[in-house]
Amino acid sequence: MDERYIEDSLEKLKSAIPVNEELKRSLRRSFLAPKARTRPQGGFAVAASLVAAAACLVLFMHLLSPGYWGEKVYAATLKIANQVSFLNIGQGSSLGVAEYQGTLYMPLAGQGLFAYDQRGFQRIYDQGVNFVRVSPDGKKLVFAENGSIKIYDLSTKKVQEILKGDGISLYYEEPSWSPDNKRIIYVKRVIEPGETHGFTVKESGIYEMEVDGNKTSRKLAEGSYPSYVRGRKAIIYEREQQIMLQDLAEATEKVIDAGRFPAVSPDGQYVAYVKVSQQARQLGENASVTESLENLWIADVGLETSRQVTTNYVHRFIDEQEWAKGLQPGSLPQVLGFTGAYSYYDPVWSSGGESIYVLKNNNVHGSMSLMRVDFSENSLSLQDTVRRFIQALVVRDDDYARSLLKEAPELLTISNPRQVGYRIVGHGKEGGQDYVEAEIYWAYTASPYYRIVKTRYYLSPGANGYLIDSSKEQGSIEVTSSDDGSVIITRNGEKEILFTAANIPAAYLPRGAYRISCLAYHETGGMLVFTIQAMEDQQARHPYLHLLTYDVHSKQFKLLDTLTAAAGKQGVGVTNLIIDNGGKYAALDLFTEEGKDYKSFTLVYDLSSGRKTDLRALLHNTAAGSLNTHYWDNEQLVFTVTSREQTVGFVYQPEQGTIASFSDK
Amino acid sequence: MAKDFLSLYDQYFDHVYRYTYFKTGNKWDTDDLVSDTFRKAFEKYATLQAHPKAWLMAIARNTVIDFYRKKKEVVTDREELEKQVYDYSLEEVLGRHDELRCLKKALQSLPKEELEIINLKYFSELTHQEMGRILGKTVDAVKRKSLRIVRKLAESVHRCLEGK
Repeated sequence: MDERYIEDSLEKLKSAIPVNEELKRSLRRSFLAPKARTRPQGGFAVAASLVAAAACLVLFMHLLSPGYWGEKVYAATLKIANQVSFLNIGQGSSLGVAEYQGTLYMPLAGQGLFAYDQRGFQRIYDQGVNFVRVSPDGKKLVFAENGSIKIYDLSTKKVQEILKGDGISLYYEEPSWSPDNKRIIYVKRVIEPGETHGFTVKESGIYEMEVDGNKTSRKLAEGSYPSYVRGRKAIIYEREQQIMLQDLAEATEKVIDAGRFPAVSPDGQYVAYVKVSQQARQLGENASVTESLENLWIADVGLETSRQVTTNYVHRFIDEQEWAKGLQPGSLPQVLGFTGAYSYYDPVWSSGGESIYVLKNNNVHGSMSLMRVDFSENSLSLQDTVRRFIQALVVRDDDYARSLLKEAPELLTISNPRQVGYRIVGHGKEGGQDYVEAEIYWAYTASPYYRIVKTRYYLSPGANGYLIDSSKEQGSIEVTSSDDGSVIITRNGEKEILFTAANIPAAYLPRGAYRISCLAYHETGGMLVFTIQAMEDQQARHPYLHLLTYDVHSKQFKLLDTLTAAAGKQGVGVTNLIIDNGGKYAALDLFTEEGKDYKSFTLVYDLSSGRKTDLRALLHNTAAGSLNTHYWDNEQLVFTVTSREQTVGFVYQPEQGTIASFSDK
Repeated sequence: MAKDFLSLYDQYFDHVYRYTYFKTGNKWDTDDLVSDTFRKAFEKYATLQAHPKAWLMAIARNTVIDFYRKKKEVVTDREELEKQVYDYSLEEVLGRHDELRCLKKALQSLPKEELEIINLKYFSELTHQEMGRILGKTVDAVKRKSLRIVRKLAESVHRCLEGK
């Protein structure tokens, strides 16, 4: 055993430490001279600059006020009941999603058209669709595919091409249905390729056409992203980054607002769109800064009022003062361009009109997700304000979390340890100010670590509901395991050994090497749930797991299960163990082989009966992928399915034994 | 300036990444910390005089320590914070090279300051001179120390393979 061998072996170990190549590319791009970000257009898109994301971020809630609103409510007075990202698209783009009564239709670049609902995430059409709309009666889809427009009959699954482009210079795109299901409105683009590179748009005309019958068409306007407006003889569309309203009877045009991607609500009352606000500042003689911030807005179609929906913020990727100092005196004037932490694309209303789905790109991490925004006439209660705030932190919707804070700090969310659950425990008044008290549960991936932090959030009324002024930690409990196998609980800094390895009944301990790999603690129930990982030993026995509970009061251990194999493969490891608020259920993320056969799956245990449920078996229409727990939302488990490049969120309700989707109403 | 910075980035990204990953043991923190390291380097690039790799790795090293400092509620000295790095099971990061099982075990039992030297020298590919600049030691001291650690590892691996 010489030094040379050790050095060679260290070299081998070095190669085993993976380098995140995606990060390497995306971070590098951020150091190139900032340019205005442009978004690729549908049919003749260049590769979208979207980078795969780390993890999908999801949460679930019930609507406060579903359905149509009876009386006319101005856009400016609509309240936001929730904003939640639940589907991470990864690399590649998704454009123009649509929803009908709980089923979301989602085109994914290069992969086809998918349907997402409580049955799973299923491919329903395998060609390169890039924009889809559901007919108001829910019977048909219209979509654009490589410059042609096609209609998909949802009952017969038959596809009919109604407009044929050539995919080179003629494109039919962005189709949308008339309220009576009889016509579509769409964009005809004529592109002229340049001599050497690039292209010129010769025409971007808005046309309408009858779907059945003689299929005659007529031109209505110049622009893009057209929609009909229910209850009026009018259309709304985008032209030169403005949202236009055209009265078809009088052929008059009005500007609603500056913006892109207009989407008209099913009742014809509101239009949602993405608007950019810009600011410029001079830093010195030869240095200036511009800030462009996108946000989702809604306005009344009748032009009375509008309101900003999202709370985007500037992503300052470098210190502007340091940057300015680094410039040579007397050099050419330079501009440092900051954009928002998020960009928004293609909003669309739910069929019931109470929510908007919008694509949101996280410009910091380079990942695209789909977010649902719910509206209500009522403001959130004190408790719901705190609940939404914590949910937004868990799923990392910083743009929503910030809207609930009076003053937002620079950094809101962190990666590990991560929040795996929360509970509102009380509320009251302190010194005349309202507060809500909540516990947040934290865990480390694949480590025996669990932390409960109790925090008091102080709130005061703002223009659109309560705002969180400040928060104060009230105490914490931390449970960890040390190398010798004992489990230690630390309450507000005071350590106590719950048990040592010697206390665990010998029958529950593996013969060879082992360690406590994951644990979770339920304070009110006085119960610890943990896993003992038996290591692979020299006789090449496969690693396996014991799942146990420990009653802190009676000091009794109980073996719930021993897992030696999964999905037909010997050898099991665990990466996460999280429990619900009531201490009734535990969810485990398990994995089998590393490498190309790597597969993870999720089991939920009823802790009193020991009954277990494999969540994979409950998803009927979903291609096999990796399952992972995300967090417990009270008694419901939010988990994700990673299939191809997407990470899709679902909700498991253990009491009912059913799965729900984020598009269920 | 940007062009030179990018060549620094291209040349050393993998080293910074592996160094940080080996120190924290998880990908999520590593992604955040490596991004921070390069942003700081980008901002301070004008102040760089010589020894770019040592300079960059020193930023990475401080970024990791600052990260653990921020997680602490009370002010703690650097020595105390150093205890938090390398605090995970090496198996998870280094994967399952069975033939290297004994080496991983030997590494796991090294004191943290010795792991730091292994990380800088073998995983981040620093020269003895660069390591000396970062650790505030002479080149000879770094050489002696590295050799001692490698010999110690060789002994542990030997014992492990003999099943002792």
